[in-house]
This record gives sequence, structure tokens and C-alpha cells, in this order.
Amino acid sequence: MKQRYLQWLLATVLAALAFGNAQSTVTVAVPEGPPGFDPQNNNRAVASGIYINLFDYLIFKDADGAFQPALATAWEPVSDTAWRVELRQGVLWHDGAPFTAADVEFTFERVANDPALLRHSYYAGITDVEVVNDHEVIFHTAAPDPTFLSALSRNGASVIPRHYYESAGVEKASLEPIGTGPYKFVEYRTDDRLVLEAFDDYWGGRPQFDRAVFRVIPESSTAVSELVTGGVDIVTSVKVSEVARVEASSSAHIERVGSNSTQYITFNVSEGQVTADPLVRAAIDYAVDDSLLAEVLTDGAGVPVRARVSPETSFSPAGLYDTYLYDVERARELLAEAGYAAGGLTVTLMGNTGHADIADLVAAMLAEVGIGTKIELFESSVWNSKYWQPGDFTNIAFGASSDSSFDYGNSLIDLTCPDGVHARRSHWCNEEYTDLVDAANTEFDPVKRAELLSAATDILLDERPQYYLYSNATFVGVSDRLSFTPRADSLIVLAETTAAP
Amino acid sequence: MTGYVLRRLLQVIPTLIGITLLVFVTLRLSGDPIAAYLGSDAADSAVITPEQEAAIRQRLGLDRPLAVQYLVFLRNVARGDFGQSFIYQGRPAASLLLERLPATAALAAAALVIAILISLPGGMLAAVNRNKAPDTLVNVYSVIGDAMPNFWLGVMLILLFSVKLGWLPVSGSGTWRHLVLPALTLGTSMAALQTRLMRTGLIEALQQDYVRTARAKGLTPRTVLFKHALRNAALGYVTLLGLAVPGLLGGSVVVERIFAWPGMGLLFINGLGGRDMALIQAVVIFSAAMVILANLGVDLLYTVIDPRIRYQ
Repeated sequence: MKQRYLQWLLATVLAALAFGNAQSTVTVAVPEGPPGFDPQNNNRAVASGIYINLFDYLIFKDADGAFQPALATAWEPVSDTAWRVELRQGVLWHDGAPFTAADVEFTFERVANDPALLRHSYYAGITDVEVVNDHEVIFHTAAPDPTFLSALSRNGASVIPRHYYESAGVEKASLEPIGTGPYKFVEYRTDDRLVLEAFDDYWGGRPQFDRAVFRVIPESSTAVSELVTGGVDIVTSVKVSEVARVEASSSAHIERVGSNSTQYITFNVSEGQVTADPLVRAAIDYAVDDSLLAEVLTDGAGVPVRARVSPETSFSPAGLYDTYLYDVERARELLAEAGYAAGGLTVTLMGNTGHADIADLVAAMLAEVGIGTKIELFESSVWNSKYWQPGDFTNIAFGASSDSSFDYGNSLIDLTCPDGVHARRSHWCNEEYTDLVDAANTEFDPVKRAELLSAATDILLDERPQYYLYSNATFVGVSDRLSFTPRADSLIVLAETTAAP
Repeated sequence: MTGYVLRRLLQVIPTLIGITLLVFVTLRLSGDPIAAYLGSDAADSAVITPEQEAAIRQRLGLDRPLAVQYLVFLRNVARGDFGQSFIYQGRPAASLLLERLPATAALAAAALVIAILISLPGGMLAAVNRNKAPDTLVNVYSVIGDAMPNFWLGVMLILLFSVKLGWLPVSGSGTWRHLVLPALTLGTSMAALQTRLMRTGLIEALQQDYVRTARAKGLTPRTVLFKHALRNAALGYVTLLGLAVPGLLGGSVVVERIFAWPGMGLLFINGLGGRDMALIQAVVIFSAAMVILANLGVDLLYTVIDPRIRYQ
């Protein structure tokens, strides 16, 4: 009897201990919710940042930009247009099914063959995924592709389960996803909260936190209030104006991280626009103080650039990061050369309502050299439909873009003719530039590739269809109870997140 | 009476059709939905070929003539299908709307209760004590309450009750404690206007002859106020309160954003940003139906408040 009582007592104490040791949770505030969970039909960076916890890529780029094995364990080119990829064995999907080459075949053939998927263009060059055996595939591409490994490790490269997509259908798969990632899906209340649970059988080892919660908090000041009161552990984008409040708190701090998102001006170079004249574009470049813009608009975290370069991006040409042209006298000379007396030129600056600050600053700088300005800002969806195509804007448009492949050659495709999205906007079509970029993006020899990209960059610097201002930086708020390192590609990698020592 | 209600309900149909047409035309005139879908600033850079764009247009049903798109939409709505939201990877717009409805309804109801609890006694207090200290106090509240933007008030309430005092959660939903601050923000600003309405209505009623008569009869001030004056003063008050309800159900964009409250306002804003026709139409039709029903409800309530009003 006594023994039985002791057993009961022990069981009760153990149960109480287990209850007291509640599940550990990491909570992340994100400014927008994922649109769903079909990683191939998404182009929002925030959603891609979340997907990395549910799905795996074949190859994962570490924080230094080096390729690391993920679902692929080894890879090699077998010809100019074929890559052999060995797949990890013993990997399980969240529903317990084994991961095999059939999943890889399904994933990449789906996105390569369906042009209506938003990530199609990254993989349109894949002509065939040949299954050698359960753990080996050969990717065949239409043309030599030196950026192929980057494509396998960028937003959109998540491997999806063939059996689930085929049995449950796309709609269910994008509502209740199954992946191979460190966390499995529990619940998503659209634009409210996403709850994930640690996957015990994760090939990379069970993550430290039992649960991961992504809370959608659109207002930065609210997210910061949650952070300083312990409601959330990570705020992925803290507004510049809120940085001081986090730093003044006793429970959280700010991590600054660079990105390859670049703020730029696009010139409309079509006939009849004053910005069709390269001298005018050059004058504007010299008249604008990029360093001051970066200082004021990013609280000193941004870095002035002369091209879409960042230290994290491979094949970035040297000498164009952390530098800028600013010479008011030279700007005046160029204007005179273009035939404009002081006060004789007026340009229109366009953008969405979020560009109000940058437009005001640029207008003041242009006034300094005698260029008059007219500012027209639009509600963002109206702006997108003007800016998108056929680039229906006057003179100058503000914008920012990033490139999740972190390959400089890839980011230059935007200005190739005729389908590059920025080429369409600016109406700039330079065949020599397009040929150089195309050649670079089929060139395996890194030295030759760098030369080709450098030559293409020289054309951009000379012609300025776009003029780059500064590389954006992101402020991430992190609770002191956590050890979390934000990444330049804005992936929120919770598997590597631990409790602070 | 029943005939009147039926007639009013039938009038809803052409009104709703008119509204959907208006929304459809204005949204399409102001820009191409595909641009919002592909060309957002937050989107990763890429190459979009004309073939890809055509394929996406086809999938989203944007390749047909505008008139056909609209008629197809109307036909589907008649069958209860509002179409698929393209910014939410093809989820039915109706299910997105229904998912948000409870949060929106809870916030609206709580805000309404707060507004009534403040404005009814506040307005009465002011009217009865006209030009005295309580009246001045109530007037000061109405002016400040009306002038304070919800955005500012919400942030201040968070800073005080959540950050400083730690009494209530900052944002989100799930428990009644989450509801307090957003409902207070919305309710107090609504109450400001309602208080003034109650005050003015009651002051006017208290000056009427029948009130003098009632007083002369020797009725207690309480009976005069509640039985005679209040009912007459309530007409304007109820009208505006009724009109505020659909606004609340349509979702309060500002308050939902500040408190990360997952209601219809946020859904609507996301839909607008993405020019998501199905989603926008679903929210607009719902809100319009609410306005029409609330109007009808107010009209019917008149007959209860004022027995002289009769509908044939």
C-alpha cells in the first residue's frame, strides 16, 4: 500500500514538473502573412522567409553565401547543360513518407512547365529532371547555366511532396503544407498567426524550440511594443523611427543586417522624355548626394552604391559599393552641355506614397543645381500598374528591388531586352548589354564571367537607364532571451535559433 | 408592414448590382490587376516574358473582355460563388470573408456597447445639467474624442495599458483581454459624436410643450425624462448609431492595423493593394448589404420608438 502511494506521489510530482516545464516557443512578428503555402506561386520575400522553416531547398546558402548541402548532399556538372545531384537518404516528409528523387522531379518539372506559377522564370531553363535512382537526379538545362546552384538555393526552390500534391491537390497542399523542414504545420489563421511545431524526425536534428509562432503585425510600432513587453521574440522589420525604442528597452536589442535590396531611380528613356538625354541622366546622378540619402532615410545603416552590388552577392564588381558620384559643379556643366540654362529644366519625380521622403530630398538636391521638379505620388496599387509596364511614368521613378539568388549576373537580367522587368519600365534596350549579360549567364569560367559582367556594368554606368542610390539595410528586433542572427536574404531560419546562453 | 419589409428587401438586389458594377469599373479604370500581382515592390526581381504574363492572365480569368468578366462574376455570385482570391493563392473569397467575420463582429459589438454605455448617460447628464459643470465636462470629452485620431489613441492606449502598466496584451486576438483596447479605441471615438447627438436631441425635447405639460401634471423629473423626453430625443441618436454599425462591420482599417486584429478591414486593404477583384467585391457586397439592412433596421426601430410612424 505504502509502495503504491509512493508510486502515485512520484507520478504526480513528475506530471507537475512536466506541466511546469511548458513547451518552449519562439514567436516572430512579420509585417504580412504568407498568401498560402505553395512556394512556387509566391513572390513575397516575407513568405519565403517563413517557408524555409517548413520546406528545405536542395542546397542552402549559408550566411557567407557558401553553398551547403541540404536535401542534396553532393552535386557536380556532368556537361555544360547537365548537373548530377545526389539526394540525402533517410529524409522524411512531415507525414512520415520518405523523400525521394520523385519529389525533386515533380517539384522542378512543375515549376518549369507551368508559366502561370510566379517562380516559373527562375526555372524555365530546366528541360528535364532525370531520375537516376531514388537518391540521384540529373537536371538538364536548355543552355549552360552557371547560376544553376543559386537557382536551387533561392526563394522558390523549396522541394514539395509529390504524393501530397497528387493525392490532396494543390488547393489543400497550399492551405495545409507538408514539407521536410525543421518545423511542421499546425495551423494558419490567415493574416493573424501561423503555428508550427518542431519536427522530431528532422534530418538536421530536432530544432531547439518546440513551437514556432509567426504573428502578423502590420504596424511596426505595435510589433515593437510586443517585443519590449515579451509578446514576441523577433520583429523582422523595425522602422527606423522605432529603433531607439528597442535599444532603450531592457529586454531586446536591434540587429542591423545588410541586404541586396537596392534603392534606385529608373529613368524613362523613351523619345520625348527629357530624361532620354544621357547627359541629363548623368547630371542628375552628380546632383544627388546618395550618401546623405542613405544617412537620412536609413538612419545611417544604408550604404551608397553605384550598381546593384552588395558584399553578400557573388560576382559583384569591385569598387562600386560604398561609393557614389556627387559633384554639383559637374552636374551644372553637364546640364549646360545638354543645352539647359539654370532653371530651364523641369523633371517629374514619380513613385508611390511611400516615396514621399526620398522624393522631397531628391527634389531639394536637384533644385541646388537649377533643375526644377514636379512630384507625383500614387497609391501603391495604382503606382504598380503605371510602373509595371509599359513603364507609363514621366521622367523619373523611385523603386527598390532585391535578388534572392544573390548572384550579380542574375540581377542584371532585369535590364536585358526585351523581357527584363526594368528594361520594360525604362524603355531602355541595349543589345550589347543584353548580349554581354546573356553570355555571362552561360559562362562557367569565373574569370571570364566576371569580365563579361564588368563590361555589362560599364554600359549601365555610362548609360544610366537606372541610377542606383543606396543599398538598404534592415533592422531586426531580437529579444535578449534569444540568440538569432538575421540574414541578408531575409530568411527567418528558426532551426539555427537558440535560447541565449 | 410585412409588405413594406419585403419591398425594401427586394430593392436590395438592384442596389447591390449597381454597387458591384461601380466597383468593377472604377477598379479596372484605375489600373491593371496583373501589375499589382507581378509588379509589387516587395517582389523579387525577375524576368516576366509575355508568354508568362499571358498564362497568368488566363489563369486569373483576366484575358476575357471586361463585360464578359463582369457577367461571369455576376452569374457566379448568384450561385454563391464570389470567385477566387488571387493574392491568397486561389482561396475562395467567400471563405476568407467568413473566416474574418467573427473577429470583426466581436470588435463591432464591443465597440458599440462601449459607445452606448458612454454616450447615453453622458448625453443625458449634459442635457439635464445644461450649461453647468457636467455639461461642460461632457462637451470637452465630445470635442476631444472626436478630434483624436484613432491611430494616435490606439498607440497611446497600447503604450499606457500594455507597455507601461502591463495589464492588457498589446495586440492580436483570442481572448476578451485582446478585445479591450481595440474596442475602447473604436468605441470612445464613436461615443463622442453620439453623446453630442443625445445631448442636443434631449435639450430640444425638454423644451417641448408636452414636457412642460408633463411637469405641470406633477410628474417626477425622472418620469418626465425617461418616459416623455428620451423617446423623442432618441430618433436622431438611433439613426446615426444604426448607420455606424455597417461601418464597424466593414472593418475598421486603422484600428485593425494598429492592434493586428484579424478582421475584414485588413482583408479589404490587402485586397485593394493587390487589386484582388474577387476579394474586394465580396467585402463590398457584404458591407453594402449591411448598410441596407441596417437602414431597414433603423426604419423599423422608428415604429417602436415613435408609435406615430407607420409603414404601409
